[in-house]
Amino acid sequence: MSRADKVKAVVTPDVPQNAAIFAQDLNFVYNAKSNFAKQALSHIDLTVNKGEFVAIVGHTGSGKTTFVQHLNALIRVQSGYLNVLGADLSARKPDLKALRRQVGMVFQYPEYQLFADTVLEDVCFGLKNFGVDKDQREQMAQDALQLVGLDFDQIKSKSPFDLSGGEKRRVALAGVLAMKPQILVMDEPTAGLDPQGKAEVLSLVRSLNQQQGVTVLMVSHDMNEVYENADRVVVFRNGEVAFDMPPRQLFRNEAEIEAMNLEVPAMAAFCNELERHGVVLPDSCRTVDEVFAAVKALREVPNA
Amino acid sequence: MEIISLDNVSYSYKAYNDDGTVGECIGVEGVTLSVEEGAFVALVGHNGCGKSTLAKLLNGLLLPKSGTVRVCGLTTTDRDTLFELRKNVGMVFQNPDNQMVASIVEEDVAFGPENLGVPQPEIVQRVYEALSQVGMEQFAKSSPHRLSGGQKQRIAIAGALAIRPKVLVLDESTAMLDPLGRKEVLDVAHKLNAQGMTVVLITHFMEEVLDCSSVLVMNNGHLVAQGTPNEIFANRRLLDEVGLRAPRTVELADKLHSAGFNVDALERSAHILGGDVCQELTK
Repeated sequence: MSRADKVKAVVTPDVPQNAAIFAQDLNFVYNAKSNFAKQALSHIDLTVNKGEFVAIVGHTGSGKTTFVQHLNALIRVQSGYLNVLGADLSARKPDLKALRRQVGMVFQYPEYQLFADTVLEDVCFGLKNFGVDKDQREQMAQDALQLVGLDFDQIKSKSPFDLSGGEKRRVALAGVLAMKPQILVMDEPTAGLDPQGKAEVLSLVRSLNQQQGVTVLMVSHDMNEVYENADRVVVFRNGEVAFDMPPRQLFRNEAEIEAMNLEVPAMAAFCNELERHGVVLPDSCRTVDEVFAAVKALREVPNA
Repeated sequence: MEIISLDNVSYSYKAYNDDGTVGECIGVEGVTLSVEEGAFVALVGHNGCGKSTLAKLLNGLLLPKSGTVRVCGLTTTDRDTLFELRKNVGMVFQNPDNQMVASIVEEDVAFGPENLGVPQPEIVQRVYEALSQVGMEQFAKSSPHRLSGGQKQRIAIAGALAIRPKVLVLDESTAMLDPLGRKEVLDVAHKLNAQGMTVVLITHFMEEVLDCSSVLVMNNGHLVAQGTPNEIFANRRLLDEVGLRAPRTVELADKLHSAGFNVDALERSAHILGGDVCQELTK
């Protein structure tokens, strides 16, 4: 061990074994040393465990996107410690290529980033850049397109620009999924989609999370979808983590949620009202169907 | 009084097939509808169902292939009155960043009236009136790029108002905004409506539809239903067919009602619904 490594070993915090993402005292300032300096992140402590589905919410300008862009080093760590899948991103030269293959990033309106002549080329683009050979990448593209529910043979030679909005979004998602990332980071993946398109994208993400163990970090403004899908919700406020807890627990704080200009999900508002009357449903009831079943069960066994 | 009327309107886009031939792709087909002055109409349907095509037909950005579109008594296909018609229909689109033409807010709002040749003193008056209608007068001298999404959309609405339209068309103007931004834009739309403006709101947010006076439902280019929000949300089969869903509270209320609970099947307030259910459970 060189001397420098020894010094570093002293300050490097212990990363929990099961952590996919581990941030400690992470800070970021835009336009530092200028009149427009803005503290976007201050003292962020956050751990996301492998296989978790975590939602990030917060008002515009609260630091959500800045945080998320740190995760595959689109933004480099200014101060504090960040570890993603064992890679120390606070280090001077982390292995970015390996990291970026493991952390799939889906930006807002990803369909605006489609560019190739055919769907196949577009989905293969990332793989090509990572040096996957031709046959293998076509196979991987095929798997990815199947995963997002598109018929490979029918769609592979179409121009991405001839597709409908929902199809475009799924092709863009396939381009990220083709790389088989271990962490999927999504910035408002359902924005602008109709209710059916939303449900399709969310059920895809849920199945990746539950069946393939992909760690999911989803930024969203739609509190209903956050409430129904996330294991845990992290609320950003003015660049800080204001809350970090399971959805049912979080949305009991109606006044605080509304003070942050966030909405209380419909089913949370309903359950909160029941609780004010002394009727408590299990915390796991979060969708319309689950809440309905629980209420019906209560009526049938009134004294339970 | 009727302000918008469409009579058997069809529009199709050119579609380029794989083999190089040119075909047609339906935008809207055989749409007949009428909107009363002062109404607040929601236009809903899944992505690609023809909502935006219909919006663009309203001010002659697109001209119908067949049928007629009349707004304020003027026909869009009449070239002599097209500009007059466009003055009556203000449009605001989805992406706030695509609708800013100037580097100062007041200049951006002045763009419309300037193009209409309105005399300068009146432009100033119109700009300030429009900005105060959307609650943005203190930002008159700011740069649009430093504003939030909701603020930018309100500037875009002010830009439309400066032309003094009778109809305001909001084509998914809230889709890219956060909850606060959406509320800002909707509050402005409802305030203008209360002052007599006819509003056509295109949206995917069913919660926004609840407060409209009527709803038009599009599917694959056809107008498949129209009615009050309650009538539309009561029609489960229709919603399933066109891939829409009622707001969650209404869905729950409907299920509870069907299961014999003594609640309004169209209850939209989670608090009232919760209270009613508790009353029944603790009886």
